[in-house]
Amino acid sequence: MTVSEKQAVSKLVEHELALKVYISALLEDEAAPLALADKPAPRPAVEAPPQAPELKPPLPTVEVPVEVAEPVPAPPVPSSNAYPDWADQAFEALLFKVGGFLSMATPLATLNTIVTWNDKITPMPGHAEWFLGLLPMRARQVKVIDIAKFVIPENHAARRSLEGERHFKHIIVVGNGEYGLACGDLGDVFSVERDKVRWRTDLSQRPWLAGTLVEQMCALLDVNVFAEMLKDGCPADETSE
Amino acid sequence: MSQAEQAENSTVTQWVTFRLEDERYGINVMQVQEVLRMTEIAPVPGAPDYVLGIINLRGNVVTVMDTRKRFALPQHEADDATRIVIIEAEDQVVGILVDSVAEVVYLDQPDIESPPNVGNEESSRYIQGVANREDGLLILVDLNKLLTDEEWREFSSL
Repeated sequence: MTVSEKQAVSKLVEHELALKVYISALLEDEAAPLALADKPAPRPAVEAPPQAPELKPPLPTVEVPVEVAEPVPAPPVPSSNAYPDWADQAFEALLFKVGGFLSMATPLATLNTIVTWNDKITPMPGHAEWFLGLLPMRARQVKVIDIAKFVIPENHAARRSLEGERHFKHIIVVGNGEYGLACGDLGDVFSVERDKVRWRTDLSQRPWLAGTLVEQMCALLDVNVFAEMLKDGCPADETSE
Repeated sequence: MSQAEQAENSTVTQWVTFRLEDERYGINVMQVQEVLRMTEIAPVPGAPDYVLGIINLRGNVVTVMDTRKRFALPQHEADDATRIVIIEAEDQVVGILVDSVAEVVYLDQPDIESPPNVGNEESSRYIQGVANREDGLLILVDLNKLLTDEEWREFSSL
């Protein structure tokens, strides 16, 4: 192996390492560690309403006038659900690779179709680097996203491994067919129990990251939120934290 | 119905198409004054990077925009197919440098799809829409939005 080949290999390893460190940080940014057997704390919306105390003093008889306390208003029920709609029960998910190293998963319920990577994508000028262009499909234009570049911030060391020639293999078309996620190899489809996911509770940042598949140690993408984010206009900061 | 007859229909618009890199773009024919072969473009010292320079068009000075730069495309050596399209936008006569000029196409309004608006990028505001044609996607450009108001002011004062 020549010196330049060794340098190239060393650089590749360095990029891989940087990417893995980033992904680990991404997956572990939720503070509390979770034991595998633990059930995730469900969000308040799925909790049973607070029970009234079981032992109440017997009500006074009618002979004694009593002041009837004002009914205590029920605690407000948060509108957001603990889990995305598609995770009401166990759900099927598809594993896929992006950027060569990063494994991600998306629920099958939000998957529209998968097409082989092709050169019919028309790039659109003036857009973010992660927007690859439009792919005509069934009389509509699918907006194809380089998911690796979307999730890895521009200023992160791992991003360097995404520069240069890319080898996309598939486009996972999601939702109603508006967006396509350009990715590499497709992995298995497997069933996920809801308690095998470490669900994120703070979705103020990276709301597209629904949680982490604990056994697979990979990011679970909430495609619906992802699509909403793009529709509403995704500020550059959103992707570059 | 002939193309000319179709043009009379108010929903049909005509677009001059040109190429940049591998993509085809369309601009409203009503804003196109003429198409010139590549000629000497004199650089303007201190001009912004989207300005290539100026040309003398029958005694009038016309500023030529670097369209590749504006569209964030790599630079390309001018060749026999390179054209300067003289357009009118924001009350200015401007030249835009393109790889080649292809044809004039007729588009019916329903055939024009809205722009992708992915990421709501300010820099893509000039994409007016897209039209799916047999030979590929045509990207329709709103020439008035190629530059911001401030850039247009700067452009006019060069």
